[in-house]
Amino acid sequence: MLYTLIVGMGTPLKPGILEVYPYNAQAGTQLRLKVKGYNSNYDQNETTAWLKIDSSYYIQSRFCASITYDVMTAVFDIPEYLPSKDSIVQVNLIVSNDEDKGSILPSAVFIKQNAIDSLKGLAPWSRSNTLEEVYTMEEFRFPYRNVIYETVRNTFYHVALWFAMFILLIISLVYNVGYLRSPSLELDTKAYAFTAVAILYGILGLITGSIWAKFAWGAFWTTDVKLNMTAVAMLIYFAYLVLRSSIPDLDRRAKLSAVYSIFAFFALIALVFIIPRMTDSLHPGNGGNPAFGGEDLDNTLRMVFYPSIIGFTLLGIWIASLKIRISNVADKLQSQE
Amino acid sequence: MVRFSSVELKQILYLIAKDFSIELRQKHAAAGIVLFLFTTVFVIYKSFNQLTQETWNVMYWIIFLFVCLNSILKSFVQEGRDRAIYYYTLFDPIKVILSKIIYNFLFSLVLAVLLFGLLSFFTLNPIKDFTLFGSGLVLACFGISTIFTFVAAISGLGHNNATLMAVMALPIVLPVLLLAIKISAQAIGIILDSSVDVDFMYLIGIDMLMFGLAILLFPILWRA
Repeated sequence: MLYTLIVGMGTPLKPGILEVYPYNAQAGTQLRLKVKGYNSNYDQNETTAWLKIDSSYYIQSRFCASITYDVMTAVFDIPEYLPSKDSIVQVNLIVSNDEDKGSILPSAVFIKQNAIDSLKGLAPWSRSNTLEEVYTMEEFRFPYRNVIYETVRNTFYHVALWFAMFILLIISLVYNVGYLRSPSLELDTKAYAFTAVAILYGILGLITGSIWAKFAWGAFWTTDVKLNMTAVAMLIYFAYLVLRSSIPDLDRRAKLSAVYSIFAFFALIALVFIIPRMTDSLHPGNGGNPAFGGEDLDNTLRMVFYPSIIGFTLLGIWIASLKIRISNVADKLQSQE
Repeated sequence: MVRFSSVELKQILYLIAKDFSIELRQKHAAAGIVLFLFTTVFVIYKSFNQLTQETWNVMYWIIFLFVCLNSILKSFVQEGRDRAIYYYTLFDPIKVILSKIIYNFLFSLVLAVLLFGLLSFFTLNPIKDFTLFGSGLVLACFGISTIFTFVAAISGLGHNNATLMAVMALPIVLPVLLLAIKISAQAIGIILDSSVDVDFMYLIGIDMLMFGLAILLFPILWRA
């Protein structure tokens, strides 16, 4: 846990490009592009910039002049013709120097061409799938993503909390099934403790997600399906708590709540499959958003993310075991009186 | 799955007939539910001056949900503890829950048709594809009555009140309800989705899952 806090919060992001100005350019003119960087060191290094169309055509900047450490001007001579059949072309900007290594801003500039001739346009643009001059970073830094910036760190807490919550719920499901096979109040106490901690994690997960959503999506609560599914899950487990507290008889309480929580858990699983069919989600893996993996969850994030899941799960198990011990002691005290 | 002999099948039919005759004997209860339907539809009709197709769809299902909640809630409470023990000595628990589910399913179908009649009499009838709407309705009725019957069993044995049952049942019934609303929206023509058969598959899947769980878990409850 300490590890995820220190590494998760302490490791800086890789340099990136925040914004450029102007956004529009005319083919056949000179473009002076003002580039604002993030965590970058333009002033101490010789920086080179490229404009890239699709994944293969690019031109190099004539020169780059730094203004401060994070602002510089890149000058490009844009050829008359572009290697494209469209009149307006989206161009990616790539910036690289010895210290910051490469960073990219997708669809940075829109270039307009008056006459379209994609064959003539091929000539002045170099063609290559990879830019050899762009250095890749070997330092331990988290990846820089547009829109979410520093909040990529939320992966370690928000997402890990969800994983841990589901693991805890599954543990309590196992105890509940175990209780029904051979009833003993001990198993019931365990199932209850794990469910309670899972509810706590659910609430924490909603809070961390909500704060993040305000930053990235612009609102604390959205119509996003995963949010609302979690809300339903919380409702089900609150009902479980109410059910438990409403029955005074211990054995009956244990039996009824075990039956209800097994029933509810499977309904929840059904919900996981159903709701995504209703509307699109803003979460990774839905509605055109990339799922975790590939570029998004790179190895630097993984080094914190996986230990964080394990850490939260172990922490949950520890809290649950404390709860179990407290209730065992309370039972003993009660029976002594 | 347990295979029923003809005698056992007769037992189930007998239990259903018993529920039916209880319903007939307590005419005030059935009349109350019909009146509840009528009043709700009338309130809806007067509150919305112009009911759109979308609100019709949602209103239909919400009213249906709460009418079902009210009528199925009493499944296990109405007969009292003594008679429950009497049934316990006579019948297999699986037959008890099966007959309850089937009875509630038939009852909710009647309610659904009645609600449809009332709502389209007072407001409008937006349904264009009756086969789609009907088949969705039957599946949704089955799912809703299975879940409500089971939750009624839990809360009935725990001597809980109506609020707790609503709190426990509504989140669980949500997947069935959402699918039902989507299918009937398709039948109305509000949304055009080519994958409605997948929705049906999901709905059947959830129905089977809930039905299986109810059959599996009820004997444990019944022993209490």
